[in-house]
Amino acid sequence: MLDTLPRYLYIPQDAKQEETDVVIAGGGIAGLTAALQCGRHKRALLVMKNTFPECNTYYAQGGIAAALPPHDSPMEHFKDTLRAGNYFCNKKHLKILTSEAPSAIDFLIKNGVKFDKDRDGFSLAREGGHYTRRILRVNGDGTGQGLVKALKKCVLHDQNIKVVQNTFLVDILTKDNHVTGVILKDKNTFYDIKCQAVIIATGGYGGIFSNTTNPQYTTGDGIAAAFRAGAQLSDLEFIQFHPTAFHHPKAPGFLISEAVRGEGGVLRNPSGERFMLKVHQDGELAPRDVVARAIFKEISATEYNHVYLDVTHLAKEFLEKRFPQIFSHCLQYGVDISKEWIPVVPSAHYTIGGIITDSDGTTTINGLYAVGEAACTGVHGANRLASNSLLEGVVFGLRAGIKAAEYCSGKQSAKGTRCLKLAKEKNPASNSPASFNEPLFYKKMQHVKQLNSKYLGLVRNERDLLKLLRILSENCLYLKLNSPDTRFWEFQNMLLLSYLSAYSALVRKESRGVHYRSDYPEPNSLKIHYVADRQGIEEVII
Amino acid sequence: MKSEIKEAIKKLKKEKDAVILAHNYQIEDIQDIADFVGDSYDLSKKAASSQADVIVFCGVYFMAETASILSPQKIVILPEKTAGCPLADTIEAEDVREIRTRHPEAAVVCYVNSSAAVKAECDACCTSSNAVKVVNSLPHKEVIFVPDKNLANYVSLNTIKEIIPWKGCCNTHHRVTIEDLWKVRELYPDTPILVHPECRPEVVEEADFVGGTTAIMNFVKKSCHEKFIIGTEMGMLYPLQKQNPDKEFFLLSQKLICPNMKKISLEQVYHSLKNLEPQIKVPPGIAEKALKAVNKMLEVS
Repeated sequence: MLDTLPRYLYIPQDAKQEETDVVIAGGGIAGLTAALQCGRHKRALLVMKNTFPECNTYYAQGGIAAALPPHDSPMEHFKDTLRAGNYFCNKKHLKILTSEAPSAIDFLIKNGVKFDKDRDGFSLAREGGHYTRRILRVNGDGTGQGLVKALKKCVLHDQNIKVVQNTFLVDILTKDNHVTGVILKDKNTFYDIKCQAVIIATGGYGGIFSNTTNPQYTTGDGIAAAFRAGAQLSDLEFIQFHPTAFHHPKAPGFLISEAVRGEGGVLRNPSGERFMLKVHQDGELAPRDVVARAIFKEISATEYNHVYLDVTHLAKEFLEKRFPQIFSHCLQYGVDISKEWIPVVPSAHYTIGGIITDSDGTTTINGLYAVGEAACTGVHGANRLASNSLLEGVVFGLRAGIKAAEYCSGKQSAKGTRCLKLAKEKNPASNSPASFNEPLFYKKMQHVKQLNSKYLGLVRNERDLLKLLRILSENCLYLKLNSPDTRFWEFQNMLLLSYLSAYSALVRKESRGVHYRSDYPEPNSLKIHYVADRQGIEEVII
Repeated sequence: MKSEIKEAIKKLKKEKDAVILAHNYQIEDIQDIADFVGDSYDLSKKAASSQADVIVFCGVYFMAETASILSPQKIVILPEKTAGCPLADTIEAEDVREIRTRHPEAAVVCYVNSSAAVKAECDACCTSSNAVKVVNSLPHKEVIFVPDKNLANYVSLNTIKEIIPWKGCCNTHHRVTIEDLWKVRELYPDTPILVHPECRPEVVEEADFVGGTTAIMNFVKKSCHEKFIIGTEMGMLYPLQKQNPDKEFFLLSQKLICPNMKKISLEQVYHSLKNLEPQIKVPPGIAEKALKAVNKMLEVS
């Protein structure tokens, strides 16, 4: 299956040539941090497929975790993360994450991030899984916006960093397992960029699901490009779902905070039954994964694609005051939560797996680095602790930035000839507008997303996964159509990651952290990672 | 009989102008007659600030040495001279000099569980309660941490600095395995497990709280839990129960017993107080150098 995967998404006939030292793909927190670090020593090109501030970071409502003295210690942060991660974390990397968190916060402050303060210093919030208050925020729930805004300003002011927006990373060019450049495409033009190092900071692949809290464009483009170039990926089956995201055909997954259930919100299936009572003695306040799986089962058993959260027994004044954002957001989509039940659905939230890296973001390809959600450093183990993902982006973004700049100055980077041979002939199927049937394409894409939500969701089993894999490989994986349209490429990347994630979920015959198999409900005594590369999926025992 | 000897000790103490310091791990009778009970850090501070002429140190050898370093003019008595510390014995002054030559850029921090001669070779001393603070206070990027490799691991989790560990460990704490912890956790999933940083790394990582004996005491006092599983030397259960009569304590493993800490009896305290021996005296040359390292610790915390 994988052996027939083409090396390139698309080989252009003509490409504009340019040169730089380091290409950074992704304009979220990890990419911006890495770019700032590279820009101190080298020429950097920051490539974003959207425009500022569009990225997953921007939508982060939580905050950034850091154990600051004197009341907290990195050790406690380490332990909380390890516990949340089901003791499946890479401890060496986790140690770096938690012990370097305070200096990562310093870096952000130096670059203009203004964290919320109270009279005792930073105003620290507490979140589920953290045993103490350790979450720094910007403007309450606007942390993502605050970070992107400040770092963007620094990046744009940096003479060494060139930023290109609305530009797609098509492929990474390599020669003898060394990075030689990248293929980019903006609205109309292809670019063949010669560079020595590439940092992938393109985020995860939550967008492969129909129900996701991520923006639709989160299709794992950087991870897929790295895979095609030969990099190793790992832990792709570990996908974190949020139990209750607002469900509305036009509203992208907006989180309905767990605090709503804490205040007495009741879950009902479409026939009005309060189904949590038969599942767990604590009802709606059962542990998060129990609630999420119960909702998932309820949805799988009926024709409906969501359940309801009922807060109509609470006073309107109270709801408006306690949950101002949720209240106004739902109202905007025509749901007055004081009168109507809120439609909710479990939604893909964070993808734990990605490109395998060491503690400096180094991948298995020389000159290729990965950071943030695109990378798999192993710090999250089998379940990510809230507010650790922004932190990971900064801590490892800083490290990878330094390493990539060092690599460019070193002797081992590839110099000399390029490897991309432009297509000699016009591809018969390409560039013809007729071959890109938009409604059909859109339908196919929605179909795959729905299949993923159904078969690769919160509860998995062998039969469903085999079914999904068959559909993915028979019908979709390598569409013969060869189009230069970025939507088509996103779809290809989505298919690849769906396939790899489903395959990993199939071979992980156990339940651990966010990965739940109804046919194997217990964890295995061995700790195993499933590592994917072009040769297939391999078992690595730790 | 017991009360008589206790009375006699009290009387002698006044006569000789002595203060009795006892470690948390001492037997219950000794803790009862002590003027102060605490961890090695608390006791070293008490030794330094005490006005008494004589310090009776109910603990192990290195603790008495530390008291003598801090108060060279006083008489320091260790009622049982063979009460040693196998952890402290894993390293000698020569070893410190040797490891320094291999890492010339690094500072050396020694855990208080080390001999005076070893302390004399180090830049700073520390206890489990201030190890991280001490390490972070030094300007060096690399720190050689002696002699406890488990505490070194704990420190390395809390600092950005490169920690180079020595190979020693406390036999008592090291005996507790992760399997022991899992077994207890399965039986009492909701009861917090509190362990000493001298425990193995995997035990430290999976416990609910990690800290020296004073930190454990503070955690218990503030906690709203009613039951606790204690992963440090069994002697600690006594002061915990005494100060928290409404709470319940269980030992993480029956292996948590330090024979050296159980060597001192009431009779020995009585006799040593009466005869003012065995006295522990650190040679002035070594004491002066070791004092610098100990003072560095007191300065920081």
